[in-house]
Amino acid sequence: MLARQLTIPLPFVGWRVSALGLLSLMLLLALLMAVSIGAVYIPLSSILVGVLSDQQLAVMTSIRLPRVLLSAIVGAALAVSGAAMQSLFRNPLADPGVIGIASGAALAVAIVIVLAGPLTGVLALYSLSLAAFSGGLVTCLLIFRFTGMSGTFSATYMLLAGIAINTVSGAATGFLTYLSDDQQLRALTFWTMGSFGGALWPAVLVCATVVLPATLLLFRYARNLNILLLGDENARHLGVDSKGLQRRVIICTALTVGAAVAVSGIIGFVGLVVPHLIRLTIGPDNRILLPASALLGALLLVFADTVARTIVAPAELPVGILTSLIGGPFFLWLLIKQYAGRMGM
Amino acid sequence: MITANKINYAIGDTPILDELSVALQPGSVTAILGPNGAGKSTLMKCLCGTLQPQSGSINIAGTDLQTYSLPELSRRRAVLSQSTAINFPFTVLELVLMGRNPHVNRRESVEDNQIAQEALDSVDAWSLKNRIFPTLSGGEQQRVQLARVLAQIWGQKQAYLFLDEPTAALDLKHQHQIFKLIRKFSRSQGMTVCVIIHDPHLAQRYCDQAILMHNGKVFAAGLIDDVLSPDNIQRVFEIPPDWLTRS
Repeated sequence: MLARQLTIPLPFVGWRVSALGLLSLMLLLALLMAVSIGAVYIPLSSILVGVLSDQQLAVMTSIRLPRVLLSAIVGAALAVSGAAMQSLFRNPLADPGVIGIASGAALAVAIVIVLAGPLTGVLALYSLSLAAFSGGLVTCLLIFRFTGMSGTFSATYMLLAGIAINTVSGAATGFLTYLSDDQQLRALTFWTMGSFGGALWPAVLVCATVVLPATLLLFRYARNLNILLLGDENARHLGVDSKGLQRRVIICTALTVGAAVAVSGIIGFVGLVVPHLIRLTIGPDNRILLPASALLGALLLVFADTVARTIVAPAELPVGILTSLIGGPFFLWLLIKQYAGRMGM
Repeated sequence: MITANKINYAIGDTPILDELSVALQPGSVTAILGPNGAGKSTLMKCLCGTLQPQSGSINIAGTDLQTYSLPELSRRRAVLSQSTAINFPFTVLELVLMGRNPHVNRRESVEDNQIAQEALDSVDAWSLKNRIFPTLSGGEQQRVQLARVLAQIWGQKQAYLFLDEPTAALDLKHQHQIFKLIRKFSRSQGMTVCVIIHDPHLAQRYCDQAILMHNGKVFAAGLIDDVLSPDNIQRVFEIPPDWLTRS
């Protein structure tokens, strides 16, 4: 019909896919660097060649590797669930930390820690994950209902509900802290600050077995998540069962957030910052956004954790403090930008 | 052909649609008119399957609407409704490509891309293709959403198109352009088009049939010129006769 047609390539292919390749490569490099750097320095060349002293080998396999892998998995989990949640709420401000899902999950874990005492081992970690999942699920459903009540998904309602839930869970966690003995207190405090200190293989195993399947499921929903952004009704007109999709996405995000919170406490703003950076550079299509967020989230948290454990060595900084320090101002900036956009400024 | 047989829809105790029966003919454009609160949008939502009437039946091509699956329906029936604000920086072309969702398996094909571009061109929005959707003006957004809806049933025979005030935010030129386009589609592809519209002049010019609604009932239905008689309009809209003429 027209000569000028077919001038644009399909949005999905081309450089956007190669961006994924680049991110994977950067993540691999970051993982290697993170394993190498620390109190015991393990030269990259030795790791690659495989010539390590017994001490280096022990540090690498039983301390450094699980910690680095765990930070990567948690980073990916938080970033993907943030991106999925933003599609669910149709708002780029949705973040598991900001709207209270992480703190709901944290409260559930705190209850288990205080009631059942310190837990170790794979099974105990699974039960913590289960508790975190339940806490996250309940808060997510609560906020989703509350936000959807007005008919439109208003950011105001979402953020206000988040404030209320954060306050209530904060108070309840505070009360639990008050009740707990010295040992529990220490466990609780460090855990709520968000840290990978003391990460061992069981944590990696538990986290990976929950996060991986849930993340892959979310990847499968990516195209329909795009359609969901047109609104519930319009999505149905385009053949997407919006209610069912929303239910499945809520469960998957609660699972990923729950698993992340159970092993590392509250690490804020990764779910907010990472998807936003991907949208700015690559685009908003969930089919690229979700996998790219997973990679960048992993990359960011591996990097942040390496900084957290080396910057004040021999002590270490809870990584959650570091991410919040960067993420908080970023969130404010986003808020101002969104407000300015609406006001036509 | 779509027929509704004695459908009722109520919210609480308030009836919105009251024993209402209508028929939409293939290859023609049917206008739904009526005062605010007459039940126009509710009727359209029932006809396109968004709402389920509490009693009565709706048939599409002789088969009950409820027996169609969501994906099945979405390949033949497109709806332009009041839009949700989009807070994410999708390009116009990406948004129109979303209309191809019912026909896409894993990712959009070259053909889907071509259809999306033709649909954009048909609503005079070709030049917007690489713009970021949320930065467009209201009228531009409406045209792009219309292109998305058209892309959904592009080239389908015997398709159904529902439009809820498609030209509300458009300037005069684009109002006429869009209605010309809709009429062309209904003629050339045997499309059944149903459109909620407030402007009787625009309706009279481009629509074939009309359903004039009043208080959840059909006040008059049939050929547009018969339905939109000055007498009917005065009685339904409760306006004095001289409002319709320039005097």
